[in-house]
Amino acid sequence: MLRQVTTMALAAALMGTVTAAAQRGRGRRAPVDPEQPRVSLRDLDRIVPKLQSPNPDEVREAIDLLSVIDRPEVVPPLAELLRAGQPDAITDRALEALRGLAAPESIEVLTEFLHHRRVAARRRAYQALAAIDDPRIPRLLERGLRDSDRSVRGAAALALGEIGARQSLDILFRAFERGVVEAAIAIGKLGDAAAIERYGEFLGREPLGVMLSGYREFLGRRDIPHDSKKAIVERLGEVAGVMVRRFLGEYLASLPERTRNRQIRELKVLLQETIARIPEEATGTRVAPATEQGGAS
Amino acid sequence: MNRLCAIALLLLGCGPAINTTAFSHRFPDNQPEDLAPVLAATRAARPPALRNASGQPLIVATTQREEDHERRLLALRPSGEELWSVPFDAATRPEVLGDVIMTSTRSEVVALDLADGHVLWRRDSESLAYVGASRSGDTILYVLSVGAAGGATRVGRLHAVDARTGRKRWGYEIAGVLGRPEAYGGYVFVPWDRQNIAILEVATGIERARLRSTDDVIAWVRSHPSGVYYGSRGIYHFDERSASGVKGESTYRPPPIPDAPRDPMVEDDAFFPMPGSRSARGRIRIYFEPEGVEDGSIRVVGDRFYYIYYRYVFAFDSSDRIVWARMLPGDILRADVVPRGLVTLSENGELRLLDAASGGDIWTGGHEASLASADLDLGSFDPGGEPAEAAGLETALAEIIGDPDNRLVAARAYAVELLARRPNPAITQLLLDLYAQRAVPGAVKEAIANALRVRTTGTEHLVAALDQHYDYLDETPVPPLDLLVPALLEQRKTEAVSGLVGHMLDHETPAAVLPLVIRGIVELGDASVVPPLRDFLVLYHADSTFSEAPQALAMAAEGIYRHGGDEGRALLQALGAEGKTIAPLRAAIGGIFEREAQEAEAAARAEAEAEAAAAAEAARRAQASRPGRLSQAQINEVFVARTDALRACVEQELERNPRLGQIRFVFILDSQGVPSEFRFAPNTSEFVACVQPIVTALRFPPIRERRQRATFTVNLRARSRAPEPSEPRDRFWWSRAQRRAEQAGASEVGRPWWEVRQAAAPSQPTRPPEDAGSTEDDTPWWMQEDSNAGDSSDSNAGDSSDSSAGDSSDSSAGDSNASDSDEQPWWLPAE
Repeated sequence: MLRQVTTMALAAALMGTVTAAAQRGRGRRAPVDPEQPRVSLRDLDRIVPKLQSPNPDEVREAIDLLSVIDRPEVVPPLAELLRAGQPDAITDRALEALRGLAAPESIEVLTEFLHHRRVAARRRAYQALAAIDDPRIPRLLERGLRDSDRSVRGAAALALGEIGARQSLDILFRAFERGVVEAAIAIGKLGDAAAIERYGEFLGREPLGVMLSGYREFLGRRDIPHDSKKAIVERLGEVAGVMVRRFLGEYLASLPERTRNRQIRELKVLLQETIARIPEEATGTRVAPATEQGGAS
Repeated sequence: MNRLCAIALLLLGCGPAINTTAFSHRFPDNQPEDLAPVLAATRAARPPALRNASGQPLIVATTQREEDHERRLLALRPSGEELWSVPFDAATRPEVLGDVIMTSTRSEVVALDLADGHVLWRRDSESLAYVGASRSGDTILYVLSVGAAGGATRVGRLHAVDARTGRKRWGYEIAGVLGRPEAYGGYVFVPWDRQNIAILEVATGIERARLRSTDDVIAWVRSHPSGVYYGSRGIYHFDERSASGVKGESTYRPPPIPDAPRDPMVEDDAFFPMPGSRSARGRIRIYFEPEGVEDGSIRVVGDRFYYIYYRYVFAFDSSDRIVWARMLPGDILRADVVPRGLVTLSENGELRLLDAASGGDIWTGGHEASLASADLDLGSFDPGGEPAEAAGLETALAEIIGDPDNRLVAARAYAVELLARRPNPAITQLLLDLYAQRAVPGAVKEAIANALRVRTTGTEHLVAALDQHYDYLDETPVPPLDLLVPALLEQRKTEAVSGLVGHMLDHETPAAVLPLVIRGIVELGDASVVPPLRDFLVLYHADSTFSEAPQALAMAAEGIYRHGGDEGRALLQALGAEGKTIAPLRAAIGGIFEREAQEAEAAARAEAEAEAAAAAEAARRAQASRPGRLSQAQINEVFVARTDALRACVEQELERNPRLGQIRFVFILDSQGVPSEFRFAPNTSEFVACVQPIVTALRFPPIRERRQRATFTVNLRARSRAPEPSEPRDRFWWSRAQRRAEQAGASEVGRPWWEVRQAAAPSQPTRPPEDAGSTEDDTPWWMQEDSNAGDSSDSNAGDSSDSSAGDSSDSSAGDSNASDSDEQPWWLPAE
């Protein structure tokens, strides 16, 4: 139970960071904040020397200014800064800056930081890579699934799901098999109808909350056939339980009230029937608070 | 009181009871003449191959107490056939002695009939421990004892009783500990006090001989068809050489398998009872069967020593080389060596005959029962059949090492040692694989680590093992770097550097082992390792990763310092000066340069000390090469070099004093050859003023002595005083002295002292003999063409100097010239 709670909380936390990054758009620069100081590439020569300052505040300011410039030309000075070895806060800020830049030019230095001994640095490096639109990225993110640190593995799994790395589905299943709970969400985002069936094999082996986080992704996708969605609902109906009932109820609520789509209507009917079959109260099964909130959302 | 009673009974002729004719401390030990009849009897003895009366191989065993099952005593054939079984709660292991089985309960010694197990007789054990029995004819000899393990009470009793009735024949009690007796050839050998063997005649109970070891412990005596053997960890053969009482002069076999864990005995310790219930005692032992002595060496059946450690069997040859190993399913309760190999009886009643050559099963049998103790009387048991194929030695050892039985860790670690001694390169990989197993206990891992450090074959596997890196998905662990790196360092495997660099840069390398990995890079690498070390150090120098445990960074800094040259030093200095560098690293870098400064200082100090030592040595040599004192010739030589300057002064003085016959300088030389404290004769102010600057500027050769009194004398007018033939030579110096004193007293008043002294002095002019006649020639000697100034001064200066100076205590160099005179100085004793 403790494991379940921990994994779900972790997944939720990671989801937040990755989703925030994703919201900024993969391969797109961060939107310009009107409150930010106005600097341009012309100021590069003035800002870069500040990176060498012994004053950490000045270095941080320089990093922020380079982020505002938001051009690939700022990557080399940031890379040089990172390679020169910095206190944790500076390193993390520089990695965040590279994440915001989302420039393929930073892949090399970010790849180096995938082997940094500090977990937070590795995790930020993976998240920064996930923001870059480049064909090399999925393979790099897959490395994270092999990391000894669970938060890094989770970040990598979520990132693979975010970038739509369908070619990584197999390795995500392996990771899921090895206990990387975040892979459930990625699988839910990337898997096809066949993957749903494969995913379903984990039902009963993995915590229900984790499984529901993957099913939520499957059910929310438009590219998944309705028959497959029905199969999911029916499969969950077999599992039953308060958590499933709530999950299906929330899913039902997310569907349009009125629709001409026959398949959606049939799906709603199926949902209603399934929910009706599941008792409202728990029958002596204790459910952890984290999972009560709807699984690994 | 008992002794008094015994003596009284003996005196009264009431038959043998407690005897006093043995175990006396006054009995002479190691007497060859005492041992001779015993040896003759033992050599004549022809003991049967089997101890039991049935003439068939037999096993007598006790069972373990189990629920709803009382303990039993049973007799079995090796095939498992049960001859009989009786309820019996044996406290000690049963022993087969002919037609009797001897054992004990908590309070009694018990004899049972071999035929059906019924009790023949019982005797009170007298609150002592029954340690064992032996049999000679119809006499059973058994020992009760206490105190072998220490304590205040030490009592030993030996009883000789009728085998079938238990009727006492004779006995002894001593205030010492006795061990299990061994009867052979009409004598009984009784070990006592762990140092002696009393040899008693069985028929009379009288001690006939005694052995005493002066440099070893005697813990057991056992007879075999080939003779009597005794010892502790080593094995002695009882023969004439036993009388020496020492290992070196006895027929002795040092302890076999000396490195076997838990110091196994080669026989059960005779001073301790063998438990009748399950016990660890006896589960670790070496088994062998002696077959006699050849060329002074004890030979063993099959050339095998079998080391049993619970359920492991290791077979060694007599050179202590392992031949095979086996892991049996159950703990071995008892074993016996037979000509074809080793018979083992397991706790579950399983009997196996293991082939002496291969360890394969030749035969299995036994009786399914939970056994607690057993006595095997198998003789030359041979059920026939060929040995089954056994696993090879290496496989068997690996199986033992990997055995999950953690009771037997010591033997598993020993198996590691045995395996690691094999040259097969694949064993290195095998040991690495075993090390990687989580279930392997620490002691075994430590043994593997130690073994790998010294292995010289298969080391390529050590290097190859570095290729493995952690992978969560593949479930690949980090290789055992704590094992690999020391082994690689020990064997100077420079080809491992790249693999080590890979692990240094791999974040999965555990922090605890990272300093060791970097040390490996530094120790095995060269300048080529500087770039990765630099990258590593720079990347983390300000990071919090190593703020608590900076050893890895410090080691990297050390590597850069060692291999990086000036560039590396500059980098370190820059990092050390950076404000953001974590404090422990700054301290470590500071330490490197501080150490460098200290080393430089020490080197400079050592160099200075070496130079000083060299200078001191040179000075010592120079000092040693100096003369102790300068000879007169050496002094004269210095003056002669300034003859011209001195001559002017002398000529001036002669002008002032035409009668001047001699000039004389007396002075002190210091060790550096600098003259001082001059006294001059004549000491006219003009003369002194003239010569003083000249002579004080003279420099003489250095001398060893701190100072030397020296003189320089010049006779300005050559004199000759040929000895008068009629003048009698005084025999004694005092006669001569008296005569000279008279002459001195008759000298002309008013003449200069040197003239008076000159007359009195026996020194001879240095002129050549052919000039001796021209005594009135007023020309100074140095002005004469054929004169030799050096010779002149050399020959007589000293003689007169001392006399003129009036310092008779001085024994200056010139004194030696006196011997050249035809008359001795008056102040010297005559020759």
